[in-house]
Amino acid sequence: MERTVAAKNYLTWGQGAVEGAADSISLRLPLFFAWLACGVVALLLLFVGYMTFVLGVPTKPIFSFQNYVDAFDSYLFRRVIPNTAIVGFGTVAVVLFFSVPLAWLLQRTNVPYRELWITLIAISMIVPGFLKAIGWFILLSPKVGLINKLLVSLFDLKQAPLSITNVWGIAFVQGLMLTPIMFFLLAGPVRSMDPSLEEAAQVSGASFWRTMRWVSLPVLWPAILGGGIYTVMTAISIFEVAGLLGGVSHTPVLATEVFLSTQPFVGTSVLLPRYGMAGIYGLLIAIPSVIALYCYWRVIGKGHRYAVVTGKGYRPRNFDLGRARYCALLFVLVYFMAAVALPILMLIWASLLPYLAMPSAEAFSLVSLQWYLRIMETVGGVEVVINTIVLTVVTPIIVLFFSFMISWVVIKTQAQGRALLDTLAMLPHAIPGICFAFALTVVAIIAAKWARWLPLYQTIGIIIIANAVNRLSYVTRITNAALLQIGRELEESAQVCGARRFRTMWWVVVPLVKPSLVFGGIWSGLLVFSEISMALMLVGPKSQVLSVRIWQAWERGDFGQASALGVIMVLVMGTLILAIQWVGDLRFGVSGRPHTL
Amino acid sequence: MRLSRILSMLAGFFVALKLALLIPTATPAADAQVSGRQVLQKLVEEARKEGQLDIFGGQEVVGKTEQNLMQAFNKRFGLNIKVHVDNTTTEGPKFSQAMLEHQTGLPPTFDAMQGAEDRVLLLQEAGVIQRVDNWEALLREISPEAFKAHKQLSPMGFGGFGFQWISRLKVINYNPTLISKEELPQTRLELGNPKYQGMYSLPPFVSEALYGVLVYPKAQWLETVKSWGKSKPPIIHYPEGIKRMLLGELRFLLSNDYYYWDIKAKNPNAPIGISFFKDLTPMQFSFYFVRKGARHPSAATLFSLWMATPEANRIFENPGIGTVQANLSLGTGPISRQILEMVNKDKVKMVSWYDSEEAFNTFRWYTTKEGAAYARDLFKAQTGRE
Repeated sequence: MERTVAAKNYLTWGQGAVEGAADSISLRLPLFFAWLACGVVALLLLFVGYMTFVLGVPTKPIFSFQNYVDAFDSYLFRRVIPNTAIVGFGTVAVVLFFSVPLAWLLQRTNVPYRELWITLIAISMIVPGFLKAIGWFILLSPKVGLINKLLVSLFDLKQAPLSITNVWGIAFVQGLMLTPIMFFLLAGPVRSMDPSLEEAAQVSGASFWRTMRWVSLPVLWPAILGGGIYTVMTAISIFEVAGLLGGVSHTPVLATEVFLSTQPFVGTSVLLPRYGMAGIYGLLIAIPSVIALYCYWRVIGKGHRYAVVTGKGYRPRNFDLGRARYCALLFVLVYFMAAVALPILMLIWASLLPYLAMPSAEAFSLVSLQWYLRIMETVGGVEVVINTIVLTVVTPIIVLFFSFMISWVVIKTQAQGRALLDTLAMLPHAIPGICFAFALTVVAIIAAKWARWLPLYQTIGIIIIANAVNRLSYVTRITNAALLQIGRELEESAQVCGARRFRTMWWVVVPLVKPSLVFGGIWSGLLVFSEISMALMLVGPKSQVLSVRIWQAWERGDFGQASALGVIMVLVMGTLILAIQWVGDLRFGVSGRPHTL
Repeated sequence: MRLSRILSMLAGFFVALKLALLIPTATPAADAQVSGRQVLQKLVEEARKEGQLDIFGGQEVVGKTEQNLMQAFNKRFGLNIKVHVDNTTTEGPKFSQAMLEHQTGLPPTFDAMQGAEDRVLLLQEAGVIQRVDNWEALLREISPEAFKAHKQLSPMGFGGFGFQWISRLKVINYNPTLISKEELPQTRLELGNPKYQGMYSLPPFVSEALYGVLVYPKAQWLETVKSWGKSKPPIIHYPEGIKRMLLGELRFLLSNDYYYWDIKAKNPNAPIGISFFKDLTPMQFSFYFVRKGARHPSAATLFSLWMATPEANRIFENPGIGTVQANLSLGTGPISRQILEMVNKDKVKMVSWYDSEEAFNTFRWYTTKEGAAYARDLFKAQTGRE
C-alpha cells in the first residue's frame, strides 16, 4: 500500500521534473553530507590518535611514546585483553540467544500481547545500566543474593552456586541490557521480510526449522552480523557494569582501564587525566572492530542477495504458531523477568527505602514515598528538564539525517570511497564515547579561546554533537540494513521513468524505509536519554541533563533518590513510547505491529 | 590641703601617663578593625555589583542544603546575588578541568571551588588559586568565632589560599549485625590478616593510605598496604561499599565518618557502626578557594571565607536535610561535638598533614617525583593492579 502511494507521489512529481543539473546535485548532496559527518568522525579520531603521543595538555603538547610504553605491559595481555574478550563475546552470545528469537516472535508471529512486550523492551532501555546491575547484584550476589539464598536452602548447599561478580556475570548482565538494542536493530529487517520466500520453501516441503535455517536466517544475515558487531563493540566499551560488579581491579577490562586513565588517582603529582592512555585503550577496542567491519563489508558487498522488499508482490505476513505460541510466550516471559521485571521491581523497591536494604519485615517498615515527594530536589529544576528534552529530540534528527545520507551513498551508489565512508561511520562505536567527549572538550576549549562565536564549551550543543557522533554507527546499521532490502528494480523503474536520484530517494526509497527510520530515531533518542559517560565529561553548570542527575544521586550514595527518578523516567518514557506507537499507527503505520506495514 | 593638691596632681599625672601609654597600643588595633571592616564593606559592595557567583559545590551541596546555604549567604552579607552551584560530579573531573583551563588560558568556569587538600595543593602549586589578601582581618570581621581557629581553617602552606569548610575522619564503618566492634581490626597492620579476607572493600584511590608514613616507616607501610591487597578485596568507591555493607555482602569497610551520621539520620536502627583504628586515624581537610582570574572574585572571596564559619557549618551538621559534613577544626556543630567526644573517649590517634612542619613537608613530598612514585606503589599494592 505504502509502496503504491510512494510510486504515485513520485509519478506526479516526476512528470514536472526539471532537467539539467539536478541529477548531479542529487548525487553530490548526499555525498557532501555523508563526507561532512564522516569527516568530523575522522578528525576526532585523528585527534584521539594524536593524543596517544601527547603528555600533558594538547595545546602545549609534549610528544612522547611514554603512553604506549606504559600501556603495553604484561598486565594488559595477561588480564585485561582476555577479560575483555570474554565479556565481549559472552555478551554477544547472550544477546543473540534472546534477541533473534524475540525479534522473530514479536514481529512475525501471533504471540499474545506483542505490542505490550515491544513497549516493555523499549522501556527497559531507559533504565540506566548501573541500576540494572545493582538489581542483579541483589539477586545473584555470592553472599546475600536472593536467588543464591533460595538455591542454597532448596538444595542444602554449603555455598552459593552462582556469582555475578566475575566476567561471566558481567557478560550475562550486559547481554540482558543490550538485547533490546539488538532487538530493534533486527525489528525492521524481520518485519520487512518478504514472506513469499518462506512460503516457497514450505510449499517445497521444507519443515519450519529448515525454512528458518536456510531461508529466514540467511536473509537476516547482514542485520544480524551488523548488530552483532555493534553489540561486541558496545559490550567492550561499557564501563559501568564491569566497574560496579567486578570493581575496577579484579576484573579489569579495557573499559575500566579507559575510566581509570581519565580519573587520576589521588596522591600523585598528576592532576590532568592521562587522555593519551585512554586513547590507546580506545584504539585497542577499535582493532577488533576494524577486523569485524572488514567481514561485515564483505557480506553487504553482496547486498543484492539480501533484497527482500521488491516490486514483485511484496506482502508481509504473520506466522500462526498455533499452540506453540504459548511456549513462545514462556520464552518471552523468561526474558522479561530477567531483563525488565526484576530490575524494575528492584528499582521500585529501592525508591521506597531511605537506603538500600534486603527485603525483610524491618525494611518494609521503612517504606515511604519520601524520594518521590522530594523529586524536584533530585531533578534540579526546569532547566534540566528542558535540556533533556532538547538533547533527546534534536540528536536523533541530526543522526537520522546524516545516517541516511551515508547509507544512501554506501548502499545505493557506486561512489568512490564508500567502503571508507561506512568504516568511518562504524568507527565511533569502536572508540569509547569518553574519548570523543575528550576530543570535543578540547575542540570546545579551542573554540572558547579563538572562536567565541561558536558556543560549544559546556553547552548542551556539544553534548548533542557528541551523542550524534556516537550514535552514528547505531543508526547507520539500521539505515544500511533497511536500504539493503530495497530491491534495485524499484529504483531502476523510477529511473526508467526519468527520475533523478534525489527524487528516487525522496519519493520511493524514503517512504519504504520510513519504519526503520522512525525506529532508529526513537531508539537513538532513548539511548541518548540514558547516556551518561560523555554527558558527565561535557556537562557544564547550565547544561545539566536528567541522566547526569541520576548518576550524581547514585554516586553520592543516594540510591533511593536515583531509583525514584529512574522509576519516574520509566513511567514518563513508557507513556511517551505508547503515545508514539499510537500516533505512528494512525499516521505512518510504523508501530510495533507487524501487520500495519 | 597642699598635700591633697599634690596627690591630685600626681593622680592626674599618672592618669595622663596611663592614657599616654595606652594610646599608642590602642590606635593600631582600632585601625586593624577599621581596616577589616572597610575591606569587608568594599568586598560586599563589589560582590553586589558582580551580581553572580558560579561555584563548584561538589556532591555535598545539593537539594535543600543548596537552598539553605544560598539564602544564608545572601542574608549574612545583605546581598541578593544569583549563585549557580555545580554539583554534577565529584571533584576529580572538575579539578582536571580547572587545570586544563588554566594551562590553556581560558577564563575559569567557576569563581570558587572546593575539594580535598591533596588536589587543592596541586592546583595551588600550579598557580590556579588566587590568594585572598587580608584574609585574617576579613575572617575576624566575618566571624570572630571562626577566627579563633584560623590557623586550622587555613593551615600552614594554605594560608590565604584555601579555607577549610569540612573535615573528614577516615574510619571503619561496619555492620554490627555481622561483626562486633571488638572483632574488627584494631590497627591498620591487622587489616592484612587473612581472617578478614572477603569481609571488607577498599577504595580505588590512596588518599587515606598516604597518611601511613606519618606513623610507620615507608617500607613497613608499603608492606602493610600490600598485605591488604593480597586478600583481593573489592575495589569500589565508598558509597558502593556502604551499600554492600548495609546489604550484608561486606562486614566493614574503610571510609569517611559522615556515612554513619547520614545513614543513622535516615533510620536510627540501620545496621551501621563506626570505629577507629588505634594506630592511625587521618583527618582529611576540604578547602574552598578562589580561582585566579575569576569573573566574580569578590563574591567568590566572601563565599569561600564564609564557608569556613560556624554559620555555614550549621547547615551541614543538620542530619535529615542533606549530606552531613562536620568541621572538627571549628568543633561547634552537634555532629562535630559528638565525633570529638567519641575520639576523646576512644583515645583515637588523629593525624593530619598540619600537625607539624615535618608532617606538612611529607605531604608536599608526595608531589615530588619520588613521592609520586611511592604513591603509585601504594596504589598498586592496595588495588592489586600491576
